[in-house]
Amino acid sequence: MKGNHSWLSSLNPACKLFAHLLVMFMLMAISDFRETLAIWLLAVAIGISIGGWRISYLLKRLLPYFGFFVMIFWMMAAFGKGEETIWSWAWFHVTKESVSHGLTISLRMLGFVTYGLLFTSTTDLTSFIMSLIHQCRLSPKWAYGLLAGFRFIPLFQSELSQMKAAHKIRGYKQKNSWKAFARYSLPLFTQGIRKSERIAIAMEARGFTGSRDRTYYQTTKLAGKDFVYFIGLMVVVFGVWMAGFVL
Amino acid sequence: MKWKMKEIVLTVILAVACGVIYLGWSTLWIPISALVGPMGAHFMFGIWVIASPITACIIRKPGAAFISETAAAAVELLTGSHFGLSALMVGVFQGIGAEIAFALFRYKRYHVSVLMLSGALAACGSMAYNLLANGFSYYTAEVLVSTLVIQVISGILLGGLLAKVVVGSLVKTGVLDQYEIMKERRKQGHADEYVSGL
Amino acid sequence: MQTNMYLGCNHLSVRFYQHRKKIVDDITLSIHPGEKLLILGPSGCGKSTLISALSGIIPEFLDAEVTGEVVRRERAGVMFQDPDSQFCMLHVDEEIAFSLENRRIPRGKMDEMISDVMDKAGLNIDKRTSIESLSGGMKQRLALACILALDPEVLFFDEPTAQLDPQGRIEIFELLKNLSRQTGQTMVFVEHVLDGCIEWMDRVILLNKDGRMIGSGKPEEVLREFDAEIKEAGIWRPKLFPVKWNDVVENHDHPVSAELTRFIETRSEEHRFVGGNPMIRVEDATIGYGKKAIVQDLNLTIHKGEWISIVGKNGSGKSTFLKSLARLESLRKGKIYFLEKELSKWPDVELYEKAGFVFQNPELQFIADMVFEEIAFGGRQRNWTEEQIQEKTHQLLREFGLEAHRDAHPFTLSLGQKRRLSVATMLLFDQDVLLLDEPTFGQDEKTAKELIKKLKERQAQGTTIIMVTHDMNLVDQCSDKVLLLKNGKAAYYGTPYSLFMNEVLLEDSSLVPPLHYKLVHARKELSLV
Repeated sequence: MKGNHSWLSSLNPACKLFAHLLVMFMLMAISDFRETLAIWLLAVAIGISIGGWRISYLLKRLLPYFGFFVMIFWMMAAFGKGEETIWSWAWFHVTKESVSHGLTISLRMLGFVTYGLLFTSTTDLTSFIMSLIHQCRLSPKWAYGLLAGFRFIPLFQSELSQMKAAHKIRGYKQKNSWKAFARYSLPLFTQGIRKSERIAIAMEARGFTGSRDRTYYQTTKLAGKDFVYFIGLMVVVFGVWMAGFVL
Repeated sequence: MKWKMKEIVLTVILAVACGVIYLGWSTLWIPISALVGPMGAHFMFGIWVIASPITACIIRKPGAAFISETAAAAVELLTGSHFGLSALMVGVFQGIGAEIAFALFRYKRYHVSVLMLSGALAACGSMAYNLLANGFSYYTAEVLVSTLVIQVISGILLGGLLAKVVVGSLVKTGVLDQYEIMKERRKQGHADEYVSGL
Repeated sequence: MQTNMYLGCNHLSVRFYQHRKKIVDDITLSIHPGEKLLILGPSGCGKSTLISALSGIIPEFLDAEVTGEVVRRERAGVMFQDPDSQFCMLHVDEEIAFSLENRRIPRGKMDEMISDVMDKAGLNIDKRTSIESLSGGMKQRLALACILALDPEVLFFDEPTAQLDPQGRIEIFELLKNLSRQTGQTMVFVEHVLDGCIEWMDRVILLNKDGRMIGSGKPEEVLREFDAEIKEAGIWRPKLFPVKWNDVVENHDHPVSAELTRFIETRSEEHRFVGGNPMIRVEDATIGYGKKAIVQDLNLTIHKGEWISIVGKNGSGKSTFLKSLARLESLRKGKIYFLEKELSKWPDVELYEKAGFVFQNPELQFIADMVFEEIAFGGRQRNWTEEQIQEKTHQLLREFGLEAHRDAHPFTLSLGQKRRLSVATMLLFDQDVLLLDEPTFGQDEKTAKELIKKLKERQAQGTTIIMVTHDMNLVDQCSDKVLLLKNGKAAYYGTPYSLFMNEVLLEDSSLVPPLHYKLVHARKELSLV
């Protein structure tokens, strides 16, 4: 998670996250695929206009999800119920209702991913945690603990892929899912536990007590533009939603 | 009960590790469910609730189950899960479910049966969320009941029982010596629990 | 107890609750202001525990049973060995600021203090650099900056260079030496590599494996008196100290000088082994992901039975190239032939019966819950008879000294044992080629030597060995050929002798050759002056 010098990345992270979470809630409440489509397109438009996204970046990040899009659509469409059967074969059963439902669910998925990406691609992790301390009153003990832990996401990801390579050489294939989980998780957990203990000791040895009685190198504040973005986004999304009732 | 710094970092790091694994599990889940339908894929459910029993069993503090599952879900969200906010929301509900199991025993018992109960209640939490929010209302009652049954079973086995197995292996490696789980064992006077060397 | 003690302990014993044995046993020690103290001992002897007790980490943050008295300084800084697990922030400035925030320094003063400690720690980089992108050596500099920001009275170092390559180690020791000269600060070290630090220590104490103090005194005295114990403890003994390098260079009659000269003569005459048939042939290989090529236009042939070392700076593409030989990285251009058949055309099962790969972190490649099963795994998969599995596995257990641990969980082994196990698992099929990624990294002298001995035995039986390493003595002693990579390109491929005699190449890739070569170069320079 890093900032990207766009206007969006200059906003208060906690406020931005709250706005996006609200949009995701509304997405969950909407059951019409046209409205869902419109709200998803809004996210794309925000990303391109004020989020600093290039089209190539957008395609690169979203392309993997189009595969999921198709699969989720198929899953919802082929196993649903409904009156007007369009096509059926073996245990697959596609109806008009299930197609529309499938579109809503899969577009909702795209919407989730895009609003999530809109947040993660424009937010610096440190200022996000700082805004959790300053705006959301999170205790520094937990906030710095979260930061210390989140640093390990890339490490764990690379270890996971190294493990896959190592297993390939040894010809290990997971026949059994729970055994596979135990196999992959044990090295990650033992490493993680050892490292977590060392980090906690290193932090405390440097005088970290976790109390609020400390100074801050970075502080985050709420500014006028945060309210502009928040209210603007809410009005548009709510408008789209209400438009569905009117039309 | 006050949290120690090392317990906080441990909780977060275990949640991060689980989150990374969950993400891999999610990508595995979609092709399977597209093939056999969501019903068959529900057997895979239990893995998604394993963060709670593992962390709670190691740290033994109120909130450990809830926080770890929520944080793992947040990691999944931040690293780009296609479940998006649902991943986080389901995580919250599952975390509440799992937490209830430990609260029922006043955070004093961490027997494998309690871990299994936490897996089962986490499955119920997940179902509660789905009923509140999602396309589940679209399915018939039988589908709902059978989904719940499958998820509860999966939560008990892949969540609770497997958590016990994983924690058991971790105990053997000696990395948990500084945490509550080993302290309680020592208090109970398991003189034979000493680790040699290391 | 002396009431005016500055720092130290009186009859200190520490026992971790899950262990029956005390890890530190009845140690009495008084450290004077400004003193530089080095604590030595075998791994697991309680050196780190002693430092933790003196710095206050035990019992405040780590639970243990402590008896005896400890005198601490209020402000102490501790630098740990693992560069990755002592930070909690993402950028250099934030990390240093974390120390300042804990001291409640007002925000207005922070910027100045940050650049001040960055200067002191030799961190000449942008302060917004992300920590993740730093090399191990730079991370340790940052760790130093962070503890200097605490304004400490005493500095503790818990194997600060154990996870660094030789170049990084030299730089860190040099930095600390200069710092100690400038500030006269009290410093307490635990180290298992002595070159670079023992020269400027005031006192050395030696612990045995039971956590008792068996020796104390001036560095040269302790080294002389306890040579056998220090060797047994697996400490990397200094190559020169207490002898001074200048004396060796200037005085041709110096015993060390004579020895090195004799040694280099055997090197130059030594007839290096020329291998059999081609094992691996690399043609115009380019390896990389996305747009970036990590290794470019590589051409070389490796023959059967050879020992090849791959050297180069961090990020020069060593590991990537090694992985590509086991098909763990894909080629973007060119071809690799394995036993005269294109690497990409080999089926997995057959390829990995002929080529083994030992990862840097052995834990990642373990599959089974028992050492025996870990080795037997491949045989079981191929439906070997029980008899065959037993025979072969027992042979490997014996060969690698793991018989006593056959029922143990692989994760409970010591680091050296884990590494030996990971090599053993890769030899079940008597693989023709063994690829190793820094097999001696972070190990003590004893375990490293044991492993190398095993590998040499295997080579004598015809196994081809290809390894990435930073240890130039190892390169000189074992390898038939060296591949030097620089920015992803082959800068040299030939005998170690010609590489180490080539001053330009050495300088270019900042390689430090073994002493006997250094002597040749130093003499040459001297005669020019």
